[in-house]
Amino acid sequence: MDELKYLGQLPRVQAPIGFESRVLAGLAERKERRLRRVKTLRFSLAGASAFLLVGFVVTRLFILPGTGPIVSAGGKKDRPAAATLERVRPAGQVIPINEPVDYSREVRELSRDSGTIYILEQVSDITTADISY
Amino acid sequence: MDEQDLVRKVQAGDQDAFAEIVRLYKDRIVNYLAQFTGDYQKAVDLSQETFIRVYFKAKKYKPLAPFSSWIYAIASNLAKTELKRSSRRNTVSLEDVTSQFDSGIYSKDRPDTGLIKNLRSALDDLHPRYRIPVILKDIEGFSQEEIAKILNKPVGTVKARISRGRGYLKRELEKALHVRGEGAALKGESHGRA
Repeated sequence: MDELKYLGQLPRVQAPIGFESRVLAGLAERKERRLRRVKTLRFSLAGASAFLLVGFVVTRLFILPGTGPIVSAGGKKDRPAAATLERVRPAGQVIPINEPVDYSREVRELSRDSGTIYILEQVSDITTADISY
Repeated sequence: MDEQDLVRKVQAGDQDAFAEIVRLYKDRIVNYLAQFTGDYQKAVDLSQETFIRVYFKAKKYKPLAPFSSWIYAIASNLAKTELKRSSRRNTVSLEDVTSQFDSGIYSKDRPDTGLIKNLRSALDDLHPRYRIPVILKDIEGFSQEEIAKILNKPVGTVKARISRGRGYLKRELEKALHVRGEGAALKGESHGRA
């Protein structure tokens, strides 16, 4: 059937008068709207960040438990500089204590006991209990 | 000025170059969308949106394919989305729009008969999947390869869709001719009796 050749002859339409100016006006409006949206987004992000920060600070200061004041161990003012800062804990809790150990006394000099041979032998099956303070 | 130069200027944000592109393509895009939607006013609105998108998406354009293919691709996607969105369609005869557009008068009552009307009606009933390639090929004059680029489909698919679309249009036209023939015969009969 040859009727399909008329597809190419279907009446063509044209853009209305002032179409370009309408497009440009629409473009300007869209640009402005986009700019406004970006501004709003920025303010929203800044507000959300500020809110989160305030929330974090309030939670740390007033809501989370066991956050007492910080004092130096022993509460004395004249402590050496190496003294560690610890939080004051309520009674009944286990306090870990770190003791410095001087190994220089434990090791003998080789020149004094040159002939000594140490034989390390297991004398008991029972393991030594940990010292608890 | 070369089309690619215009595109480069639009990509840099030049509004005059954009206006030039609108001037170059406005009639083609409006006509294409009018043929696709069958509604002139909707076609104008969609064309406006197409050009605005062209401006904002200009940076995404790569000169691998012709610029015209890219614009038609944007227009096609917009038209498809619009068709999906609006279930009801207010069809306006393009014959009416063409002849009365300049005067700004539009009348639905103008008689529209014959082959063109049947063709228009069949085209409106054709599924968009087949309507787009048929319009691009037979009305806008694109090659199958160009249509494949516009629709982002293999050439074989485009060929098949054009063929099926044309087949549907042929069947619809034959049906319409058959009905018209019967109508004319009945008319003749009644005249004969009188």
